[in-house]
Amino acid sequence: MSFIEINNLSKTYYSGEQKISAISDVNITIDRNDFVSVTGASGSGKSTLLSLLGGLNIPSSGNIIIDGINVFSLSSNQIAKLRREYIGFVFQSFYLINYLTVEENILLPLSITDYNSSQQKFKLDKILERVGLSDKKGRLVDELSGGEQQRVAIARAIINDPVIILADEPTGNLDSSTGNQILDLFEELNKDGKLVIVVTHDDNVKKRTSNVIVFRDGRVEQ
Amino acid sequence: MLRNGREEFKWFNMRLYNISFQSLKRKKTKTALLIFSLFLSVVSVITLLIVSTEVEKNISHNLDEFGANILITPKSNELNYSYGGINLGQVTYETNSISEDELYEIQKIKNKKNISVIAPKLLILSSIADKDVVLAGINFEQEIRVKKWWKVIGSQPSKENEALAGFHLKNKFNLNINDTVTIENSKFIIAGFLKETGSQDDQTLFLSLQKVQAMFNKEKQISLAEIAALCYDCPIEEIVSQTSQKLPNAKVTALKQTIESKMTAVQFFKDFSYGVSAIIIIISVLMLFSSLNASLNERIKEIGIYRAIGFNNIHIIKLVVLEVFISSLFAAVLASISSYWLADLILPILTENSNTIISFNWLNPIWAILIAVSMAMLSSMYPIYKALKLNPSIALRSL
Repeated sequence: MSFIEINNLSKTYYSGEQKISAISDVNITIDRNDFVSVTGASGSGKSTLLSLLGGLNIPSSGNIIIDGINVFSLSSNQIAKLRREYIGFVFQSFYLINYLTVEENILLPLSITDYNSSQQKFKLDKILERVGLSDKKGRLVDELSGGEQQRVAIARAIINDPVIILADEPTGNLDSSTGNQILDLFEELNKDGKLVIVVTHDDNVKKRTSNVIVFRDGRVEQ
Repeated sequence: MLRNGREEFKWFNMRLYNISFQSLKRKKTKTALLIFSLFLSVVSVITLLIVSTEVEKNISHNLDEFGANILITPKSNELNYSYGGINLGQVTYETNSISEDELYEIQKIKNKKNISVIAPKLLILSSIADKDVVLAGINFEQEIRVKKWWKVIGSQPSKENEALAGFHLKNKFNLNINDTVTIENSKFIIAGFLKETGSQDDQTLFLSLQKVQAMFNKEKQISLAEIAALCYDCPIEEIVSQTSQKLPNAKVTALKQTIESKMTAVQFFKDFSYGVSAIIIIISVLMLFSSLNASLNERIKEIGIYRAIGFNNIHIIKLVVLEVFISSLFAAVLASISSYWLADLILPILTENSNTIISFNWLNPIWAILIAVSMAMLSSMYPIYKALKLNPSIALRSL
């Protein structure tokens, strides 16, 4: 049995009276240690798949089973808990809270857990070292470069030690050198046992992943 | 380690309240605007509350002093002469009287602080030039305090041989200032007249109480007394009951019509203040609602981020409520302090009394907190509801 099973998944939006099918009848299985890239043209449905995988959106039909849990049979609070414990998100635009410092942004997921002060500090120091931001933990995120901000976002995504990392165009706003550093980081995380799923347009990203899923017009091509 | 190159780095335990604190601390302009709009509303209401309470006290005090609200008469069924709505019969009032010493026992009642004026009277039927006349022995200073509507033409008698004539009595005997009248072989100079009052005072000749007592061998005796009691914080029935216990031989009557008129005036002012406060609160809630709604709309992306991290509805509610709660507490504290300062500026203008001292009431800061917190919570209910209904993926796409 695969770690993630996506069965007959469809998502339809309505724009006024017009029905738009974002993804249609998608069936995918992903293993526990995969490093997956999801590619396709703009509007092909790859980002919709990512938001459905993270429980940020509800499908029109079909289901997603993660580690044996049928995600959409859960209540909204249970889905939030699943996200908290299983999933870390990384976005193209970083989505950091700009009035918080680097350390505060990274620690956000722990603010709603039972980790005490010393446990938080231990985790933070370890992760800051890993993403190479130990000297910038007191800075406001707006003071950082794009690459550094993306590293803060990755640190925030992994501080809860999630099993799955969902990344939506993580290198889209970065130059190629910084993008490669971020991909190195994802590779390391995958080697550490995390399932990484990256939505991307970038061929360079595809080359570095173990499994490529191509979307065309809301359907999986291969 | 340095924070922003300036502050020394201090470790802390990241909790939800840290996010709220940092949001308030680092978004200074927005926080200041939120606190300022809450402050304006609360300071208006609390200042109005303080001012209305003080003005109410002032009105009540002035009304209490404006005319008696308790009448003390001897216990008798035979009186048939009318004074102050009480019959004082010609035949028996000479034998029915109260001792002046006994009257001043009223100053020993539990609510003695509420007794503002005691105006004793000795009423005698006598004659001037063979014409009947009612003489009233009074204490002029006390009487004028209890009858603020008296307009004296000439001067208030200050000597024992001076008299004050009622309006009709002056016309009946064609009296002028400095004229002399003879009563029971004693001569009295007319020091002044009363303008028409429309009461039995118009037919009365007012003399010094001690003089009348001496002339008619009624030392320390009085026929009745009018009392002005300050009833702002004490029910008149309580004062009447306490006075009756001290004066077992007297009938103590509350002039209910007077009291009701005063209470109506005071109540009107109270209702007016509450009405204005309610309008201020409603307008403020609408303004706050609009401000919080706009503020939350700006934070849609932020809410989407929290959702993606795994925050549930309760976490989002806690975050927003905590920010609003802290702001409203801060506004309430500022408003509590400022409202006393503002009331201190306004009160002398309203009461035309520069010596007005505002008494501190612990309830006012509590009211300030309750009003600020309730207003803020009420205003943030719909924006929070909207935030909870938000689809996280749409929130994240909002940029």
